[in-house]
Amino acid sequence: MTHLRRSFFITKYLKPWVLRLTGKAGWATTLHALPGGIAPASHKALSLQQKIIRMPSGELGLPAQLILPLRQHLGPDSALVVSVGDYVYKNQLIAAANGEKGVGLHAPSSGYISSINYALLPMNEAHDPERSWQQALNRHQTAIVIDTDGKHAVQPGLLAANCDWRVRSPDELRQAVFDAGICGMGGAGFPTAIKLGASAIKTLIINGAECEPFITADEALMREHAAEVIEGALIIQRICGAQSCVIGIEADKYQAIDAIQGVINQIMSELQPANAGQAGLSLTLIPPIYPSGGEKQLIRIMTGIQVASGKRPVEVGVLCHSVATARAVYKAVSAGEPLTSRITTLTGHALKTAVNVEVMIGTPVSHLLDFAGVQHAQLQRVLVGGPLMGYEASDLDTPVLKTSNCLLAGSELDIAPAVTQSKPHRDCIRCDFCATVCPVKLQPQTLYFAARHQHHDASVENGLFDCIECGACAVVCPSHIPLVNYYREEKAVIRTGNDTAQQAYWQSLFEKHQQRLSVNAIDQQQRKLDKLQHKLEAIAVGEPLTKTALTKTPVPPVVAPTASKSTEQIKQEIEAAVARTRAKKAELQKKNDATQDADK
Amino acid sequence: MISMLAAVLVLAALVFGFAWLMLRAERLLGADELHNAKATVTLINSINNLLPQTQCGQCGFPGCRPYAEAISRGENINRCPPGGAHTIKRIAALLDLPVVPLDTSHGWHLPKRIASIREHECIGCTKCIQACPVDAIVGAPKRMHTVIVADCTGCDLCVDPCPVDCIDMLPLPIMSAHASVTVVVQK
Repeated sequence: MTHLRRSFFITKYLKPWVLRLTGKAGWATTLHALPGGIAPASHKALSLQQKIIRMPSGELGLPAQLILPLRQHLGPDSALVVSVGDYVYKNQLIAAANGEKGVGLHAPSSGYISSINYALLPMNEAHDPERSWQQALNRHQTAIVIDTDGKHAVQPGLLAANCDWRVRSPDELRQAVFDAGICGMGGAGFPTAIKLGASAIKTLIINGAECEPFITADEALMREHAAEVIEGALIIQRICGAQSCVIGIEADKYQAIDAIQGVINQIMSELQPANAGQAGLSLTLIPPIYPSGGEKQLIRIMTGIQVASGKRPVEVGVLCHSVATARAVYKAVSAGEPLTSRITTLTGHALKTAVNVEVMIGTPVSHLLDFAGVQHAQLQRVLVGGPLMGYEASDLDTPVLKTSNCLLAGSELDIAPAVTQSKPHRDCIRCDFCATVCPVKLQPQTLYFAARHQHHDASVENGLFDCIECGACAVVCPSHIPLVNYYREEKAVIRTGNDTAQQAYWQSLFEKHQQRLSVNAIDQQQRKLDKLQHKLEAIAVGEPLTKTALTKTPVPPVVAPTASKSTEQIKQEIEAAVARTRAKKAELQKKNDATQDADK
Repeated sequence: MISMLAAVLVLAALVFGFAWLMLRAERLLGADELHNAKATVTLINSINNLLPQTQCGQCGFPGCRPYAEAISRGENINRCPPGGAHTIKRIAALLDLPVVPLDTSHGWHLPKRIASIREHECIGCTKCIQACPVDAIVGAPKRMHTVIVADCTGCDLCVDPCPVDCIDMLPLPIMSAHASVTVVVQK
């Protein structure tokens, strides 16, 4: 533990100074300290040895099937616009954005749609049915399955509007981003077009701080496509109207820093010397601490602004986009290409070659693992995402989504064996290590006890929903408690259990139904009363009782039983019936009033 | 020695004194029947809020609120199949009772489903409308009926009364099927 603390003390405080003294770029701006954070072993060199491999190439062929779930982003599911048996071309829209807040989905390659069915999202299986937060997440999703034909054909006659983005209006550019179906590619999948629609943005931060171990997708992207990233950043800056655009990169990504700095220098030298100061494009190096790449964390490090709980960064005038999103925006605007591929890291010690690949959205995980030469004997678990924030792939046919930045085929070297029922974690000893490393300054052990004992109110009071699930607390926990699992479960439980809107709606429907039934019953009694009253009146007038016009039953031909009774007797019987019905009605009325009072 | 004894005695006196005070206070409050009745209503409401509000009646009571009332009178808390283990856990936490497994004689905990009427087979008998506890079925005598998807709680109560067996319980994601209907319209 002391070793760990010392190591992150060094990375956090000393390394920036050392780098500043050595005159590296980017240290001119003041940085702000992030509370907590850890410096885990990065393992990034594994997948950085090779260049990015593009998907439809000699080395990496197209998969036979592409599986495209309709929900890959936050917000409403996309709406299908194709049906089974259709032929779709590459880049054709297959699911339209559902309203303003939606995101469209495009076909990554050409082929026939073989089925539209349910596919699993790459999420954890529940290992314990009692603890079923995963089940809440692990719903079957509607997914479009395309049988690729290998032609990779673009729709004939479809020409991209290929004009310079500098002459197009911000609204036009934003529409282009919306049409391309781009959502945040860093992990959460927030629709980019909504973020870009925010007004009064002062600072644009391009997030190149890829702080999680093993993942190198953004680093490889910056290394090889720096110009596209910067261009994308400038487009985003034009759309949102930010005065300055800062690219934040962790200080240990030397090649990426060189590439980005080179492009920035080139752009600056092309500008007139008078305007050079106004372009507001700069690079900032940030200390390599996990989780400096979280949106709010990065904003805090670079600007010192703490985004309040429950607020979004755009509300304080800061917009944050990842470099992958910036490149997707560049492709969407300059070439009219929708988001159909992304760079994903294939890594882990269970693979023969760890490499970054530019894969199509919807490629099954198994196809990529086969390409990278997975050694099944060593394979412990496959995580979608990094070792700290990733989810376990529920089966190997789950697709790569717009948000999947890493596939980690972990051996025992990479991933600690899961806590199971046969091997439970140990008890919390209240050592407080977790509180020291929490980047949001929460008290993880308090949250843990609240989650464990299902004290939902206590969880919410202690800021459960401010937890960014970075997993730093679980890493330093000496009892090996999978703290983040508890928080995720608790969040899911609170969210599903607190689907109170729906439940309250059903409750109100039920109450209305009951109300209607009781009113109906009272009405029925009233009708009976009226009928009897009518009979009494008839007797009073002296009409013959055989003429019971009010009853629907046909008058029996023989009226002997009625005739045998005297009029007085009949009158008494009717009056008794009236009294009975009145009593019943009063009782129902009382009951109805009582329920109404109880509701109030 | 004496000082220790004194300390023990003083503490013991305090303990018993406060215990007696608490007992008195409890009795004073307990005598207040109005307070009790109010507490019961709040208790029923908070139990009712924990129940899933499907109004399916699988517990043997005609709806969630009646079951909540029954629980407040001491009924078993494990009779709600739609709520499942999660609801039992929450009610147990509320009432300070031990967590018990679901009583499967009332039904199994299944994923949420939604009723769907095969409309071309519907004869318009209105029996399902009468059975629906939340009025989620619309229709008129001898006219086709249909389910309001947003209102349906998936309680299964409409399936049995249907004389022509034209009601299916479908898994929830089928809800997106209406999107494929618009597809056909769009083409």
